[in-house]
Amino acid sequence: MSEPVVATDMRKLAATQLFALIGFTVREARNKWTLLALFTLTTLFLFALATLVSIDVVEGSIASARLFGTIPLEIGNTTIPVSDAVTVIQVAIVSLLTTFGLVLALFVTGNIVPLTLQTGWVDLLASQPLGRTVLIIGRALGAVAVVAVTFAYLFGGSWSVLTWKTGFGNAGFLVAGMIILFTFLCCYSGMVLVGVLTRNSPISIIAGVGTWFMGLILYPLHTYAEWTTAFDPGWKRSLASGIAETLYWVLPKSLELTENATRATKGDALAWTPFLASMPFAIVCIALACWWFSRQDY
Amino acid sequence: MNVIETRDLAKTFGGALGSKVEALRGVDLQVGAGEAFGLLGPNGAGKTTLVKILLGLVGASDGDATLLGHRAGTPISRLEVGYMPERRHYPGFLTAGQVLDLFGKLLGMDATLRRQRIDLVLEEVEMSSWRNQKVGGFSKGMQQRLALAQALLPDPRVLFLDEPTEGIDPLGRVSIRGILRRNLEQGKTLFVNSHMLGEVELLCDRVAILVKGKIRREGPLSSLRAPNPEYRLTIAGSDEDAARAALAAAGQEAESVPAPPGLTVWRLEVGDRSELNNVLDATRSAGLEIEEVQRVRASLEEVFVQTINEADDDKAGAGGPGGVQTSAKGATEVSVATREVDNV
Repeated sequence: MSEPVVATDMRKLAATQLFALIGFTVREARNKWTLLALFTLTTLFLFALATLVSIDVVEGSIASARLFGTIPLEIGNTTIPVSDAVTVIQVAIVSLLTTFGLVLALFVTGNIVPLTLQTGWVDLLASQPLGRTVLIIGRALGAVAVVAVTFAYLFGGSWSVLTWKTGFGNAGFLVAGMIILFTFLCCYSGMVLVGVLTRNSPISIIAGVGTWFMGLILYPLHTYAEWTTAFDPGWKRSLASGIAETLYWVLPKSLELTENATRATKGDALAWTPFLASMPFAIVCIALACWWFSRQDY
Repeated sequence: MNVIETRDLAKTFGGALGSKVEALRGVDLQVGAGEAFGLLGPNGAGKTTLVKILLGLVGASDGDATLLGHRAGTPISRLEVGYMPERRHYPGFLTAGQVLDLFGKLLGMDATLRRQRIDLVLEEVEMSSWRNQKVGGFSKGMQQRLALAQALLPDPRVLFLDEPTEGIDPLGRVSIRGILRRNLEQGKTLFVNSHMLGEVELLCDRVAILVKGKIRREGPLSSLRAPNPEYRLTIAGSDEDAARAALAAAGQEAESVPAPPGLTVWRLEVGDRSELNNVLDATRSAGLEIEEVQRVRASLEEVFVQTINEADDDKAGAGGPGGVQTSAKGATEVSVATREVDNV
């Protein structure tokens, strides 16, 4: 027999496999119209940002603004610092992305794990000299890479255009992009776990979006305890409060992470508790997904 | 050296409402390097489960299994293994070349090696011109060839083939068989999992018959097919009584079978060749003329059906998913082969 043609260093092989799976996931995403639509929309948005509004900056303030280069936009006698104007635009972008952008990202990546576990495909992948943990982590990282590239295009593009047009570069806006990516990662990890458990794309998407949405509604319940007065004092109130508090601490803090993204854009100090309190959810979900996946028969 | 070894291998699947189904029940198996081994069994016998345990797709409930000297199921045991599953699905947006490139990367091949191996395996399965075609548009036969190319990509020492020619037209079968024979000549070990007896008969030199999760018979194909030599003796003349008396004198309680006019034909069960010659001597001594002597070999189909029937009679073997399903599919496959007759 000839010398083996395959790798024999298992650690090096695992790293190669991880990159191969990430690359495959990106290629797979490229074939989806949703991602193509997202890229097209982003490109149109960046083009509009670069061409529609012409801004004249005089001594750090906006002197005049024109639409399509000719139609004057009324500024009035108010002096608008460039930094404020840019920050307002960036906060608007961040607000859009922490809602629609995140949900869209979860929709686009929702079927990646269930597709991996499709009968006939999982047999081929799992029969390679490939650890199942590497398989699931590679696919999950691939999904994160797809969203990261999309966000990088949107955030990097918007930041570049605004900096080019106004001369004001707000690094906080880029940090906001990373915070939104972190929020996605936390919600996506829940989606990975449910994907491995159910092998069902719609249920996975519901789980991911649900995780994000729960974070939005649990924060007010955690902050304003008055809502419990809707229940009779006693065990019912304790139970309701206990459930809300448990869910609040277990699930990712999507609303507080959103607030952090806005703070970062405005240049305000960040609150670190939402990051630290959301991370365990992501770690536990991925660990459980790997554990469950490695025990399953295919 | 054995490349595949199982000891008392068992698998029980948990069913709905706590029910349990035994797919494998204490399977002991050894396959040596360079062998063409066929695992036969009716649908649901546990063949695919056994292969999946060896490849780590299914966990064993009990017993041990090793593949190329490593514990079966570990990534390192699959380094030099090719697998062509019965059910497979390739993402339709990938081309044949891209599918193989992905699997080359998963095998840790560098770009140069990947290119070389992909060229080689595509040529081997006669698919070079399909390299840049999307898999989504492939026919079943093309997908089968691609699966074979993918299984051959690592230049494996062991090749697992689960129903390799299922659903393929006769020309395609011949072609796939040719590819497998070439690999066998290169020293690779073939493990063919099938209920298509004719295919296994043409390719394998050793078989095991798995019924209800247990190996009921195992050995070289030749020994399984002819456990007791049987001959067919054609005697000239129509005097059946004289012929019967002559055979009885030689200690044979021969059974008469339908014969053309002017001949009598008898089924003889003899222990060996010398016993056969004694019968022939006795026949000629009685003044009878011998028209023809034929050796009748039991076909693999007969051995297979007999094994299944024995398993059915085995009360202890009742139940489980590995239970013999005399399904329409199985029955059709079984009825294809014919009894083979060799002239002596």
